[in-house]
This record gives sequence, structure tokens and C-alpha cells, in this order.
Amino acid sequence: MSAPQGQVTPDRIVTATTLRDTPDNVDRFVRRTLGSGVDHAIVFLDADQPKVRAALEANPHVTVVRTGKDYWLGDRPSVVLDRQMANASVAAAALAEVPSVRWVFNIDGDEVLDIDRAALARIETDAVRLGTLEAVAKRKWRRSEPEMFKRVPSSNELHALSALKLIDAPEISAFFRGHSLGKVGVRPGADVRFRLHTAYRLPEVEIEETVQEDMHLLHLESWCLADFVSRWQGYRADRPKHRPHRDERLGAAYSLIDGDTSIGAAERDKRLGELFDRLVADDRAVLKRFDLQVRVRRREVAPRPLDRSDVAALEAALARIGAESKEGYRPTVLEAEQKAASAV
Amino acid sequence: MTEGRVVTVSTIRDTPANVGRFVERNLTSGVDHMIVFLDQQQPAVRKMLADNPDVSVVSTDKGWWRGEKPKAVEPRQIANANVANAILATLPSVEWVVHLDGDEAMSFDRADLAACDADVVRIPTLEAASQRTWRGGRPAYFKRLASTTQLRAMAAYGAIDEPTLDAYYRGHVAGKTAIRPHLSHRVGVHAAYDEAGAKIEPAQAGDAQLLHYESWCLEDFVDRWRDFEPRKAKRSNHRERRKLIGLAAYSIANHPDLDDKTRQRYLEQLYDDNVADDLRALEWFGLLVPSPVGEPAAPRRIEQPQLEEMRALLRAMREVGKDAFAQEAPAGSMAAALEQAASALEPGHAARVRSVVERHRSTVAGADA
Amino acid sequence: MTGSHDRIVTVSMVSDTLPNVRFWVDRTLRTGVDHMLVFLDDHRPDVQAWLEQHPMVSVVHTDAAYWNHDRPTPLPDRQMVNANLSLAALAKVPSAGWLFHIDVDEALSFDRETFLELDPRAARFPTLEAVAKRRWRGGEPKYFKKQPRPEDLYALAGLGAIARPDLDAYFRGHHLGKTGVRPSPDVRFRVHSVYEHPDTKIETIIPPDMHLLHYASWCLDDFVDRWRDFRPEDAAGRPFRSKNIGTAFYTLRNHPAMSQAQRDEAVGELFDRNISDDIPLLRDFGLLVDNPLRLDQPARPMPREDVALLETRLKELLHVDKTPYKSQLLQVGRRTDGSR
Repeated sequence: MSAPQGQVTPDRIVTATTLRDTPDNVDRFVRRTLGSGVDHAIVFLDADQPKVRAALEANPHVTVVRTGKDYWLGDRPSVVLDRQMANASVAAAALAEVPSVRWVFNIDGDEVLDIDRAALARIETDAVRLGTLEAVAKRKWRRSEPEMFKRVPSSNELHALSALKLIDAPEISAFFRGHSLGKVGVRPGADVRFRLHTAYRLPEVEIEETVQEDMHLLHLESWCLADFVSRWQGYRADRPKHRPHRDERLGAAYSLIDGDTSIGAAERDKRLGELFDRLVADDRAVLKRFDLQVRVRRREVAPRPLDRSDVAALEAALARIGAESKEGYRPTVLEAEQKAASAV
Repeated sequence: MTEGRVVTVSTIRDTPANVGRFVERNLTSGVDHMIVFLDQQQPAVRKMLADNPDVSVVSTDKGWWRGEKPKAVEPRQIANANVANAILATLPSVEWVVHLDGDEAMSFDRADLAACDADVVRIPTLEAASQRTWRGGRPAYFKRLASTTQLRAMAAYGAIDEPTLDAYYRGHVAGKTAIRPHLSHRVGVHAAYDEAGAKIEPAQAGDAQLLHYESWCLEDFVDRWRDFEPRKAKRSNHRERRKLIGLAAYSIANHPDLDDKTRQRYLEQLYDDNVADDLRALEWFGLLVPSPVGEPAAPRRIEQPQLEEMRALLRAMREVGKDAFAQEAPAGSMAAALEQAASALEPGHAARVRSVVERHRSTVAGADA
Repeated sequence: MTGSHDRIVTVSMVSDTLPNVRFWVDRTLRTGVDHMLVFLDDHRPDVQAWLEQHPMVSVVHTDAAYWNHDRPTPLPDRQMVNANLSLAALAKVPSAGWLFHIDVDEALSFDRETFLELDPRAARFPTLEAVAKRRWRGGEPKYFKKQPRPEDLYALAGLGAIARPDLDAYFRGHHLGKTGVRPSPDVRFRVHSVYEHPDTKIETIIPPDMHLLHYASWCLDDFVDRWRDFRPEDAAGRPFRSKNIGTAFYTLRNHPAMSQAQRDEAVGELFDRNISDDIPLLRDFGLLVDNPLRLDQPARPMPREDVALLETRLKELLHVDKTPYKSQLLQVGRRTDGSR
């Protein structure tokens, strides 16, 4: 092979996601991700789903990793959050061998990045932090993708909302359905490890971050009734989970209604709709009055393909790390962060 | 033994109307006889009960307690229940005794109990759903005990404040037991114990349930808390949340500054906000049970002379110290007390009672040998 | 010592605007109070100048020198030192009868003649708290809230009108009232009671129909006044309720996305949800009393030589060590009458 033609300036943006979902939902996730400015998506399949796998494998901008027995090697973390973080760390290490990749983000199946490629390319630090925006929830929107989002209010604003008895307590968990801590993107490295909302270098070295105010992590979960149904459909109330109290309660209500064989589909839909109205739908008048929502118009941006050699390098690295013990990729200091996540 | 009668024992204090309802509910459920200890002098209630051939009433005045009346109501209930247990142990036609509160009623199948071999049968609680009023003057629905998932769903919906049984059920969740009357059985509030104090594990017998009516409608709620003075509240072992609502009901019901119309309005508001059940939510989450009260079953009256003998023995018990019937009383004390009471009976009856005591003692001795 | 010993005197620590102070002084001197001691807690030359020229007011500016550069941080501690110092200053003033310490949002409601006849050594006036409503016609609250009975608290809590069945949830402010006492150098104030240094009870009567009126946020304007200067940054360590309302107030009042009218309405709602009293409910439970404030008892000025003597004494005490004038905290387990 001839010598490389000068230094490659890495600029590609890659996401790592652990997924287990219906083919339709996975398809939607991939379309959103690859239209958001992301160039390549690594999908770790959390369950054996041949149909989903086949669809993903057919996509040249997606690399699939199966995480079965041969991946976890008898040491599969029981909590899905732990699996997500381990997989994201695997991705960060594997991508170190792909010179064209500048950024790797760890995102969930119900998240999408709101980024600007040019701005990301200008960032000099090895990590970038994006704040969360949560989709405003309403039964039905005119558009087929969410455009209105709630921003994270300040502590002062939370006090104002709670003193007016519009939320139960001056806490973000009383205003947001999900997390509000944001996500980081990081330059890939063999020693880079992800936690839920941060990244660090082994053994425990901070990575300098740029906080990018004008880019966001969009959390879409339950933005409309259909998405709400899709999200909760498979919820098993009896399986032990490490979920915040609100989720446990909502999941319990959902699963009891959904599993009620004594009512017909029409009544079930009516009740689920009412559950959505009571527990999920946002009060738009309040959001408007206190200026708590923002519109995010996402333009479709085509993914920039990775070179075939890069894809091959990525696949080889993933295969190699995939066959190794994941001990070194599992997150440490888990309890503290999990407690923080559960407090949400 | 067919025709094994079911007898309830209760220590109560309530309005004549409520006592009337209590008796009617139980004597139409398959219960054959009710022994009622009146915890307070209530002449009107006493007369009403004395006139009922299927009820035996005892006024537990100072004489009954022989100067040693337990301060709290629970030890009084337990002592009275064990007195009944000891007496019923001498009646071959009585197979089961159930210790009930005045706002509880049995719901069971006679055949199920008759077919059961065990000494103690579990009777889980089913609580009446509460609405301001019910058509027909009885609750059409009851609430079954909720699972964790159901509690969480109710909390999510906003029907209860916390996903706990405490927030969901007004009363106890422990249920009650039906017990074979026997000198070696100690009756507690919810369970039965042997003479060593160990709980006897209850068996299942069909769909036997304990219907708990407390606060089934607005009027019953107000009735129940009307006399709940703050002094009493300090001593009671109700849960904190119920205590505060009870005190609020008491305060509004007795407030000197309210006229009747305003009082009613505030009682309704208190009730609506804190007591009334959300039937819709209960139904959504599989917690609503149509009232299991079925066709009335006529009591199988205890024949003479047994009925009169039972009442004679109850009267004779006035001369006996009740500490023999306390939860902590030593083994053999009930038998001894029964023996002592027998001395006041007519000879034939006395002899029969003594032979029950003898039989019990020799069984115990045999077991110890 | 001869002398009339019949003037009713108040002592207060003040930090407020001139219009507010003028209104309060003029009114206080119509309620039966004869002379007022005012300790200025901060530098307000306009207020100080007006108070200095007032014949029935004696003013002290408590600057750093007054505190000997060791100013107590908690507000009640400063109030108590000033009040105790005043007792010493008044002790030898022949016409001085009684001293009460009151705040700018408080007033004494009593019949002066009756009080003078009772001639107690110390008297506690229990609190009546103004019923809060957005706007009261006539510039005074029409009703005050009585001390509730336990049954009232249970009922109100059960009905959701107050958060818990206790006095702190019923009253916005303190509820034990204030005690007035014959000035003497051995007497000390606590917030609601008096004692004889070092720790001896003083027999205190509670005369009927005499109250400490507490206004605290009785109307929207007063609420706004009270929270106007609150800064969220200074809220650390405050109880949750203050921090929550203060921060909310600050945020809504300055909200960038709202017009002035919208801000005002939001603040009004904040008042409605947190402060406003449920008047029909209070009335039904017999907890309202008509505003008992008497404004027909004009001040009887102290003789000029007594005022001079008082102000001389105050000057003498201006820079003394303030430590002996601090109030002793109650010993745990030994509570004097009326104290918390």
C-alpha cells in the first residue's frame, strides 16, 4: 500500500446507540439520525431481531453490532443503562481506528442530535456538551416530526412555576418527563469511556469540554400520542427495573389498561388517550406564557459516507473488541450516577 | 358434623341504626348467631338486640370487668372474644367463631366452611367502595386488595396520593379468621393463636371474604368520626393520615360556629376530597368488584336448650375475672375460668361444661406426655 | 423616683422608605402610643432627618461604630439588643411607663385608659393577623384572623385551606404576640416575652381585648413592598417557603418574556396562590374579627426635659459594648410564659 496522502482532517460524526425496538421505530430512528448531520450510525442490537438486523445491515451508513452471548461472554450487565454505556465505550474505542471520524455521540433510540457540522468542526476541545431539549407533548401535531421543544428552565424559573402551583416542586423532574443533563460528544480514543451524561479517559481523567449553547440533544419520547403508545407498548410492570418513580407509575397504568382483555380496542384507545392527557401532555398555555418552549426546525442533511476502508477498519475494530471481555468498558462509579438518574 | 353453626363475636359501640345494619348484614350472610358485647351503656341498642332471637347481647359494665377494665379497646375486644370462644367450645352444634368489628360482615359459602378440615380459616378483607350515596342504601361495589402495579397505576392516575395500601385502603388489610371454638385456641383481633402464643396458620376455604363497610357513604363517614375527640385521637392507633381526616370530620361535625347547611357543605367537601373513591379509576385498573352480597340466607337457629345454656354461661361469666381471657394469659387459664363459671350453672349443664374442660385437660396432658 | 410613669413607648428597628416610615410613625402615634424609639438599621439620611425633627420620636442610627464593628448578622439579634438598650435608656425617665418592641408592619390595638388602670408590670398582647386580600378598600384590612382553636386547625387542614393543622401553617407570621414591660435596667426582651436578667420570670398578664396587629402582606401592594428587594442569591439558608416565594417573585417581576401588565398579573397570582386568605371559610368558622385598630388615641407627648434626658441616655449608650444587652436564649426545658 502506498503512503497515506497527507494528514486526514477528521470531520465525520458518528453515533452509537443500543437498541431493541420494532422495525418501524428503528427505521424512523435511522432516518432521523442520518438526516440530522450524523454521517454514520453504529447500532448495538440489544436483542436478537433478525428483521431489524437485516434492514440495518442493508444501510451503507449503518454498522450493526450483535450483542449476544459471544459479545458479553457470560458477563452481560443486567441493567440496560450499563449495557448502553459499555457499548458506547466500545464504539469510542473502535472509532479510534477510523481516522476520518472526529466525533462520537452516545444517543438513545428516542433522541436525535440538533447540530451544525461546521460549528462542530471548529471546536478545539476533545469533548462537546449539548444541552437537552424535551419535545412538547401533544396528542396530535400537524407535522410528522416534533418541532416544539421545552428548554431546561433555570432554578429561579422552577421556583416561579412551583409557587404558582403549576408544577409540584421547584425541580426539573416536575417539569421534564425525562433527563435534563444533556449529552457529550467526544473525539474517539481507545481510552475513552462514556457514562450516561459524560465521557472521560481511563483511568479517571476529565476531558476538556466546550459547552455548545446553540446545539442540543433532542429527547423526543412521547411527543405525540402515537409515540407514547409506541414507547410503552412492551412495558412489563412486573419486571424489576431501575426506573424513576414517575415512569414506574405511568408504566403500571399503561400496562393495566393495555392488557385489559375485558374492553374493546376503541375503549382501550380512549383510556390510553386520557392517560396521555392526564400524565404526559404539556400545558402549552403555560409554556407560552413563561417562554419555556423553542422551535427547532431541523433541516435534512445527507450523511457524508465513510470510505470503504474506514468502514472496514471500523468493522474490524468492532469485531476485535466484540470478541474481548467487556470488563474494561463497563462504566465505573455507577451508583452515584444511577442515583442521579433515578432522582430525575 | 353437618349443620355446623357459624357464630360471630363482637365488642361494639354504635348508633342503633348502625347496629341494626351490622346485625342484618351478618344474619343474612350465612351467619347463624351473633354474640354482641356492648362496650358502653346503650339501653336502646341493648333492647333491640335482646329482642332478636339470633343475637345474644352482653352489657360489659363495671361489673363485667370486676374492677379491672382494660384501658384500651383492643384488649377488651380480645378478652370478650375469648370468653365467647370458651363458651362456644362447649356447644357441639357450633363449628366456627369469627371475631368481627361492628362495621364488618361475613361473605361466605356455608358449604365451603363445612367442607373445611382446618382449625383456622383465612377471611381476607374486601373494602366497600365509598360514594356519597348508593342507590338502595348499600354499596354496589367493593375494592379488592391491590397489587404493587395496581397501586402504582392508581397513584399515576391521581386516585390515591401514594402507591401504598395505606393510601388505598381505609381499613386494615390483614383480614380476619374463622376459628373452631376450642379451649386451646386463643382468639386475637385478626388471627388465632395456640396456648403457647404461636400463630396458627390459616387455611383457605372457598371465597370467604370479610366485607369492611367503614365510611361506605358520606353519612357513615360522618357517623364514624363524629365522636373522635382529639383526646381519643392521641390514644388511637390509626394511621396518621386517617387520624387527621378523622379529626377534621370531628371538628366540622361539632363546630359551634357552623349552621347545619354550612356544616353539611364542609363535610361533603372533606369527604369528596379525602374519602370518596374514584370508581372509574378502580374499574380501569381491575380493582372494582361488584358487591358479593347475594341472596339472604336464613340463620340456622341454635336450638333450645343449647341457646339458653349458652346465655346462662355468658351470665355466669360475670363472676369470673377476665384476665384469664387476655392475649397473654397463661395456658390453661381459660379452662380454669370456664370451670369456675360452671359452678354457677344448674347441675346438668355444669356437668357437661366440666366434662369439656376435663377432655381438654386430658388431651393437653396426653400431648405433653 | 417621682414621675408620671404613664407614657406608652415603642422601640423598633427600621429599614424602609421615607413615605412608609412617615405613614407608620403618624399612625402609631394615633393608636395610643406616646413616644417612639427608632433604630435605623441602614444608612437612610432622608429618613433619619425626618425622624430627628419629630418631637415624639427619638432616633438612633446603628452604624458600624454603634455595633463596635461587630454587627450581629441575624436580624432578631440586632432587634433585641436595640430593645434592651432602650430599656436601660428609659429606666430613669420619669414619664416613661411601658416599652413594647414592635416592627414596621405591626400596631398595638388597645384601650390606653384601661391599660393604665390595669397597671401591670408586664403585659402580653396576643397576635391578630391581618386577613390578606389583593385589595382592601379604605387602605386598611377590614378583618383580622383570630387565634384558632385546635378544632379549627384540624378542620382547615382537612379542607385543604392550610397545609398542616398547626399555627405556623395558619399564620403567615409569628403568632405569640408581643410583651410590653415597665422599663428597668435588669429587664430584657425576648421576641415575645420579657425576663429579668439573668433568667428570672416576670409575671405577665394577658389583658382582654388588647392585641398586637400584624399586617405582613395584608394586600398585594404590601406583598410587593415586602419582597421588592429580595435576591435569590441571598436566599441560601432561608426556610423553603421564603426562598420559594421570594425567588418566584423576583423571577416573575423581572420576566423577560412578559409585558409589565403580564408581570403584574403573575405577581398577583403568586399572591393569590400563596398569601390570600379564604375569607368565607374563615368567616364560617368564626375566625374573623373586625379590624380593632383605634386611631382615636393621640400621643400624649413626654415632657421636653424627659425627651432630652432620654436622648442623652441614648447618646451615652451609643458606643458601649453591646454584649450585656443581648437576649439570653431560653434554657431548654425551662420556658417562660409566652416564649417559644
